[in-house]
Amino acid sequence: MNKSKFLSLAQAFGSDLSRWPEDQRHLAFQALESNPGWHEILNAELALDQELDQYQLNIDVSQLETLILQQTTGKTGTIDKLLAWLIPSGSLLRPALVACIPILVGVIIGSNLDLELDEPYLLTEELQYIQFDNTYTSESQNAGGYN
Amino acid sequence: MTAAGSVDESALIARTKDGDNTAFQILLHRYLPMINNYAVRMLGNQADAADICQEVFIRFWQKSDSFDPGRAKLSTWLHQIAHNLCIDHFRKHANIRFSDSEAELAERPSQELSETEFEDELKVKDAISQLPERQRSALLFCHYQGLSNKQAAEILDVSVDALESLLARARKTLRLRLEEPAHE
Repeated sequence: MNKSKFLSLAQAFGSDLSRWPEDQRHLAFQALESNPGWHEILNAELALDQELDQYQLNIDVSQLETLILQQTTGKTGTIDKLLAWLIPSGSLLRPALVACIPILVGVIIGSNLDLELDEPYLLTEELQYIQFDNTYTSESQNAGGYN
Repeated sequence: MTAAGSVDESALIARTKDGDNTAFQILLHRYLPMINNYAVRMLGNQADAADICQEVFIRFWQKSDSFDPGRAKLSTWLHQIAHNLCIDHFRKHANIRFSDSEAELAERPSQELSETEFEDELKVKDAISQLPERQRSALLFCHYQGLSNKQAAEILDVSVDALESLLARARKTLRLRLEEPAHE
């Protein structure tokens, strides 16, 4: 390990070699043995590490743990699983798809309804339009057939 | 972590995936303090950190199927979720800085600090809070959370070299800020 690499690692990870990348620690120890003067590089980072180490947390999380467990206990029911699937975090795709279900159901029901619309109930004008449309379609096909 | 510990954890994860609440409870007990400390240092207060922790572990419980132990360590995965939630929190509360640091520290139980220690800790906390989010996360992961450089780089979605750059900039900024004389 050259001095430049040692310096950049010290500036990134500080004076404590146990915080250095695992694959660099052994090389760093060897480099320090060969170059005792490099301890100055580590010493330059020591003061900051000591200041950072003053910010220690000793928070009792037992109540939070209980609260989380209360929320997770019994969450494996079918309804919970369905809700978890239906409303995933970060994506609205599934709720949107599920929202389409009533529309699809309506289309299916509508297409299967027997409305009993016999011809006598149709308007004459409507029948004429249908006939005209059939004629137009067959003429178009014939015209296409000549090409 | 020992090999035995690792196997033990794999079994606990597998049981959690099968809906075993006892296995989940063991993992929660193991990782909650770590994730909570990250969130507190990231957000600056315990109330918001508690919300983040609840979300992290409820997601773990509900979506443990999506965690692949072969691809990442559980600690990395949980930190990743916590980190993303913290970033979301910052986006939603862009104009809100850290809560009253003195009040938060004063509320902390079972900790008797001298006035000087209290001020020093407050100064460090404030200096960290002023770092850009990515630099702050990088520093927290590598200095306080005990994650490896590869784990931290994976969570931040950067190369190991880029992580080193983030860390070096964070430490340089902190050094300058902590050398500044305290106001009044």
